[in-house]
Amino acid sequence: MATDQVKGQLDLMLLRVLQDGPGHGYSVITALCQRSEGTFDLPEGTVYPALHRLEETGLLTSDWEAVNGRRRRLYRLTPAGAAALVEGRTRWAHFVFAVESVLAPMTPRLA
Amino acid sequence: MTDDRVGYSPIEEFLDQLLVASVDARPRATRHLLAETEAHLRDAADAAMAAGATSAEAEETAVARFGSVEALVQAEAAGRAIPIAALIRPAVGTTLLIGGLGGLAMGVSALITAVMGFFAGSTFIVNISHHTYLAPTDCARWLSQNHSTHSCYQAALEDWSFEVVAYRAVLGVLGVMALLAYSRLRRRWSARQLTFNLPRSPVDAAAFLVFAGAGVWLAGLGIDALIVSAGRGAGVGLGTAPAMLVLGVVFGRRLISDLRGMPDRVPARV
Repeated sequence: MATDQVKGQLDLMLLRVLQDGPGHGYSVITALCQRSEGTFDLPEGTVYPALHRLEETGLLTSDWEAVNGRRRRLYRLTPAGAAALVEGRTRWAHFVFAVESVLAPMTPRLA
Repeated sequence: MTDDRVGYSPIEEFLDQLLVASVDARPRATRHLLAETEAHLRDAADAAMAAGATSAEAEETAVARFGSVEALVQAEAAGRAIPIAALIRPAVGTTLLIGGLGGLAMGVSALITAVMGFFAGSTFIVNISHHTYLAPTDCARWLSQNHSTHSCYQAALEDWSFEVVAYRAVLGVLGVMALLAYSRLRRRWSARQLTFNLPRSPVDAAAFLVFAGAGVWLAGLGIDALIVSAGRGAGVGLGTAPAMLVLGVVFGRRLISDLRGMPDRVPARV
């Protein structure tokens, strides 16, 4: 269930992880898994199409760098990505508030 | 359970499958995906080995955690697909911009045509013969509304020349409304990081051809009327051509700027 739910918010979480600094795919998905304490244990390959899509839409940019002898693609948040993150967090907060409001136990009506 | 074949590497096997399955993707995208995937799988295998797995077990774990080749290739292909909304938005934006400018040009031509009609008379705007008359009811209506006309011919002339100017003025108003809508949508879509225009070069080329072509054609009609018909009806062409030519020049200059910014050689599809 968590895996299905995370797909709808994957872009937002990727932007948030990369807000802390540039990262390559493996480090991003490791951070995602660690921050969610293992709840979002996605097939690791699914993160790459999402990163590529975000780069295609201008929310991320990437460079190739050699790290520990391996050529890696390092992703960075763009200003447009930072703005999209702020907007996405606001939208998510509203959504969570609305769901919580529905799920919260009903207050007994006073006669 | 690990595969014990000599020289067998789950990571190499996975990368081979990924390469074969990516045959329809852009070559550069495939190269990048393969490089990223290999780096990821080697990192994951290193982490598994650090946790105590053998080399073969570590590679199998890394590949298993990565997911299937099919899912990855499908997700990449879905990311490349252009959603319909992404096509409709720029098409609407470009249509509003070009249509709005065209309408605005027609509005300006209404002004020019009206000025021409004021100084050169209605016959400069419309070319009708003395044998052309309005329907009797229209003629009677016009004669009753405009006391300066004393014949059906004069009434037809005034009526039609008025319509030439009025229809252009209406197009001008519609053009301004289209440009306002374009400006509003552009602000809204820009704020949401959405594209609001089709690629600039083709749009500039099409707009240049349409506006410059229309300008030259209308100027030709006007000059033809000046020469052949002693100026009767020349105002329609000559009144509209300047605004069209101005837009043609604007888009022509943009097109030249586009072409100068292009590389000499178009790179092969990547």
